[in-house]
Amino acid sequence: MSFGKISLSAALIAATFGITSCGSLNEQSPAAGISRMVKARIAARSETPAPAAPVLTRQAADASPGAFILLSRAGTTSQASMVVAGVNGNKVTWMSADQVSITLDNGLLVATRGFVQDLMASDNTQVINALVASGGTANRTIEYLDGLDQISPELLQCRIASGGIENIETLGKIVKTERFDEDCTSQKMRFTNIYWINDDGAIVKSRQLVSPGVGYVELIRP
Amino acid sequence: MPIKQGYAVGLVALFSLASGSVHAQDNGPSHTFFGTSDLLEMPTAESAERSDISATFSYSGSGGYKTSFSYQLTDRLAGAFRYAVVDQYRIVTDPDVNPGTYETFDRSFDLEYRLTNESTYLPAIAVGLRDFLGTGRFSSEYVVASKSFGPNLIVSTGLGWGRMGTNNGFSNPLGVIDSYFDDRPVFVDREFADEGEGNGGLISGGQFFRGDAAIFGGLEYQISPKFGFKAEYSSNSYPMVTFTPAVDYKSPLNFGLTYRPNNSTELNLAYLYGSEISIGISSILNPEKRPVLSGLDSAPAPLKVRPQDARAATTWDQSNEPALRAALAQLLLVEGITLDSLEVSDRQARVRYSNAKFRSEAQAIGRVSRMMSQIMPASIEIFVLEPMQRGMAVSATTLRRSDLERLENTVGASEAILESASIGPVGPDAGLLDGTAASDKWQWGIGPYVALVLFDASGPVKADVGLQFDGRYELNKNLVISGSVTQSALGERPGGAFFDNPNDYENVRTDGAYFGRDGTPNLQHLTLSHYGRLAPNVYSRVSLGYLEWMHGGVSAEVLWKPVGSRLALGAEVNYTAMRNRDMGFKFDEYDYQVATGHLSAYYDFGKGFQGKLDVGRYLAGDWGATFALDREFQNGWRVGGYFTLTDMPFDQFGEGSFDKGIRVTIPYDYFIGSPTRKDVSTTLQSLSRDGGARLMVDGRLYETVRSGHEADLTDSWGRFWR
Repeated sequence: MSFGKISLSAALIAATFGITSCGSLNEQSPAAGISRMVKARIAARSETPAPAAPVLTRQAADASPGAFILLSRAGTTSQASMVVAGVNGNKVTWMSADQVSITLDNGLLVATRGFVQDLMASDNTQVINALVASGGTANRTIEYLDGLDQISPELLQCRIASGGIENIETLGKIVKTERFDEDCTSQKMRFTNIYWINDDGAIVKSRQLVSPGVGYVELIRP
Repeated sequence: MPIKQGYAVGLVALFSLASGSVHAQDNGPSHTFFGTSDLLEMPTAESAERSDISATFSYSGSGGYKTSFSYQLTDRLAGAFRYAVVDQYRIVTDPDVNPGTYETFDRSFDLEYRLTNESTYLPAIAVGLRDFLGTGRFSSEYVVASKSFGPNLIVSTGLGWGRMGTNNGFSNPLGVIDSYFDDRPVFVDREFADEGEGNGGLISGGQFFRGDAAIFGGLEYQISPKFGFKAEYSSNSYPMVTFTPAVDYKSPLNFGLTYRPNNSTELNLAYLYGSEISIGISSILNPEKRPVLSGLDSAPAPLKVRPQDARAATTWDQSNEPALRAALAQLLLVEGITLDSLEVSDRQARVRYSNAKFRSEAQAIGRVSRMMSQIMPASIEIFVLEPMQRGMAVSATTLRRSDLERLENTVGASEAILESASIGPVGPDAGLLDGTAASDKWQWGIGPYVALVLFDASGPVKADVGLQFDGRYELNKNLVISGSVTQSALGERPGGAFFDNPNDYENVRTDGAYFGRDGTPNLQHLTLSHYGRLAPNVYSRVSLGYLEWMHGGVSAEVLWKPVGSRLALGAEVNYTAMRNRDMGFKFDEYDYQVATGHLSAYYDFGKGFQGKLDVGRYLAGDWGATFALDREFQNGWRVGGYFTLTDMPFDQFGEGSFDKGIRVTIPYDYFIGSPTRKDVSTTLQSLSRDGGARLMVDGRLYETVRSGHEADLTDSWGRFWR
């Protein structure tokens, strides 16, 4: 084999792998697909994007009361601020800039979209009743989308009890709240949601389960 | 797909990437060096988890290399396919004299069925066939019982025939039933058979459970969650017999260690037959367990709910229609969906669109209807959605807007909206006004490709890398020019096939080993294709040009497929000529033209089983039929098999006797999470030969149309609200 041929081959190979696939049809190339897949898998592991600066200031929150909700994955410090994208009866859907949405019914998580394992729906009527009664039990059903694109319902038995008075911080402001813990169990899972409710009866902060694959999110109403 | 080998590499890469995903730890049976869920070389009655697919690579000094794929088709039925590179004995004339060995390539298929489940006192029992379709070098049948003792120990014992009846074999107990079982006829290998005798690749049913039997047994003990120990008494003594694997055999006892760092990876190390170390690695995937769970799709716009009093409206100002249509086009574009046309009346909006983004057409329906809710006047209560594929509207889903409003974000909403929706045939073209979104008439892409070249002159497997350029131009929505050119980075390579092709037919596939080897750009395909609807349930396709890498010409197809029907019928005729080996524009190297065509029936058996029968004429001019059965998962995975029998005699077909294979399709979104309609498909044929070969034309009608039809829509309906 001639020297020139080797270097030509080498150059072609280098060119092949040096080139980032481009064009609207590049998805047809398996190699390009794999490279995107790797990127997506890495992206899937990282948590919600972490902005360096606070996403929302106290001033901005005070200027438009009720317009924002802060979302973070439990155990992380990164936060995303969300604004109202839709209202359907008591259910309000909040959306973040990176196109994750959560739907709340009186502050209770009813649905999420854009997470790797979404809460497709949750039936919270009995939980709301128990919170209004300052404690009690609730049966509820939550739904996920499984790996075969089927809706997989989970029947939960939950017990709601007061955890006493707690002063909590919401975006630099100290708020006096009563804490409620909701212990839920089913055949497959067990988790605890926490709600901090202010004097007006509004949930100002909560830690709620999205799904087993995502874990808890923390929501703050500044 | 023109460069189908590329997708095989994709598959291997997908397997290894998937290994990164970890499911809940549980220890089912580990893998043999034959890739099945058993002991080391001997079987057990255990089964892998339903739908598990594993790829196993194993090696030992005298046992050679084996690459196996196994699939747990149902809870009880498992199948396996393998390529082996082994040393085998030459013709044995004196049983005391080793005639010497040489390397051979062997393909084989296994089946195992678990007859009973384990109970408190009784073992599980399974019956199996190893290498029942290949050249017969490992051909064995067995019955085996397995019983667990505590959570960590499973003991198995069984009776083997054939190669598994060679260690201390005794007279067949089945001889009590009939003397038929006493003697096992000798397997005739095609490679060395006289003219007209045995070609391998046939079901060796005449041998099953005949001849001497022998006892085998063993145990698997789980030392810790990750480490296991296996020991077995093998009933295959690898006797020195003509054309059988020359394994260095000193003892029937085998011992091994298993390491399973996670549920998708397994490493095996063993000391086999008192003579040598063997290693094995398995990668396990389960289509039912998506590593990206429900996917990484960004959130849809929530439904815009009409105020209660506005719902009573019965008319709206239709002079705003053009603005409404333009706005809808913009909104759909946000979801990656192209508006084709719209018809609005006082109470109803009918929309046609192309979804190039979501694998699940049901998800696209959910997204489009939510976008419609944003801007449709309040008096419009009925949404009719007509998804299109390749310019053809394929179905119409009718939804009540008030149902959407009532059901959004409620438990049971998915089932409820499906129940209240009606899925039926598309409406008339009349009344629809064209969308104003400028769709890209011209699309292109450039990127690297990796391809596996199987069985060319230099060896059984070689890799090829290079650049691929794809282009597509839409003359109108039904008429498209598309092409693909590749340039190998390896330059000029010698062509030539690994196997002889001594048949009287044109080498319509086996000469593939000479194609695209001269280092110049290869035109993979360049076609002009037209799609249309001839009648409400009848679709048509005409493709013209360089249809695939080896053949070019014209291909025409019609398909009858009602939206809700399990049955579809199709007909295809092609007239093609064989292209030149340089894969350029010319047809003058081979003077071979052939008319081919098939009548096809497709049937959805339910529970994810899809069957297909094609009857007609194949590329080499042979007449026959192809039978195919696929297990299709709702998330887009498919695992299936097919075989083709034609009037080409087995000895003309050559090794394997007739065409057969298994095939796997994996949707990209299973791994990457983000929505895409792309998938990667690969076919593991025992050998790609000239008999039963079909034209590889892109975009056949059934696969084009079905995603919008009732069965496929219902399968992934869980994504409607996502």
